[in-house]
Amino acid sequence: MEEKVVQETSRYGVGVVVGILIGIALFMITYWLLLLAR
Amino acid sequence: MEEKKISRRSFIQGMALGTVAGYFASAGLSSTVFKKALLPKEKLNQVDIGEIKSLKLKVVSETSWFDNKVFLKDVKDAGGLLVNQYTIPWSVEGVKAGYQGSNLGGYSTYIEATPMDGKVIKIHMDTGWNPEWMEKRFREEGIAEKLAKKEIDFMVLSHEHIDHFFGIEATTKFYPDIPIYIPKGFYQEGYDLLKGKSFPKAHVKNSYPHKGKVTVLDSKKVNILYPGIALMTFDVPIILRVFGEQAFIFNVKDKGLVLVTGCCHMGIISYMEAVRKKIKGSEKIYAIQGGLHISPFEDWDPQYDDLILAFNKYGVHKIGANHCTGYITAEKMIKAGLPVVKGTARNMTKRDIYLGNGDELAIA
Repeated sequence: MEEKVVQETSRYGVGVVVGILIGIALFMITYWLLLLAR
Repeated sequence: MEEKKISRRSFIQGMALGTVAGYFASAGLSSTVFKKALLPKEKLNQVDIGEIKSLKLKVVSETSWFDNKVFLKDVKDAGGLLVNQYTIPWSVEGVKAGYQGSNLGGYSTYIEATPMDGKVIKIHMDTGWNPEWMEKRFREEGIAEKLAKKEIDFMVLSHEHIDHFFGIEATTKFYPDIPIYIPKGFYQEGYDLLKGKSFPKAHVKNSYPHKGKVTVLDSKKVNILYPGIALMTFDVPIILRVFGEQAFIFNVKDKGLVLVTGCCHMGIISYMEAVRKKIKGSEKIYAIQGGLHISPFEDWDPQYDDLILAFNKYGVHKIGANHCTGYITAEKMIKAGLPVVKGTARNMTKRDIYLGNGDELAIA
């Protein structure tokens, strides 16, 4: 029987980029909510 | 056999870091770079009030009352700081630290402004509280003589408070038709007192009714009295049921603006900010003189420290503070490196830490 080798590919960098976009979006939403609350 | 698999864990770790970094980077950029680049510049609608050549300020009396504890007890017994000042039985006898047993003193400043051409303009600012004390001070400083000879051009009442206004007869006794400028907000009792009405409960009377012109100034515009001499009125509610206060702005050539206050109930920072926005040349506030109303009862709140820090921003060269500024405030200002002008502690002013009764500040 052939041994199965699982190789994991890291997507850390992609995660950071996606995270930054989410962060900016979150900031814009909270900023907008704060403006509405004024 | 080899199987390729994307690591979900590393993706989520990266995303978490990215989210936090993205959020704070956006906040940082929006509050610094974008704010400067995108927000419109503040529009200032400044008035050119003109210039004077020089200015002389004499503290006639800055001791409004002689014993803080007695004053505060009078207020407390009457029901607190919001009670009508015309109904409070103020202590006029038996006060050890007082003048002839009375706790009442008063606030008054004498001003001489030399215009670019023409004769010196003489201004009587506020008329104190206790007529006996004020008359004594007016005589000692030569104000009584100037009033009697009608050499003084006009009187400005900064506001309606007891210690700035109730001694009206000390002025009208010598010059009953002196022109008076008052801020909008005087109560009917104030007009009645000018006309000679007495308020026995508060031990206030005016045996010499005012017969001259009274001009009421409002806060809608900067009120220029002469070139280089202006008054600004502030619509502020004040303790002891008073409303409205006005203060001077002088523009001394080659020096800058000199602000002269009675009590500054509008707040010293609000006053300086209003001047910054409305008066041309306000980037140079050269001096401030008068009551700054920070710790009149010699108490201290940590928030007052912020006031002193904020003062630094305006780059004032001379601070001729006194009266309701409070000794504690003067001490803190000196400690913070602010240029508080020292006095001589004469004529019942207790300390020389700031300008007292009889002291002068000349700006030329």
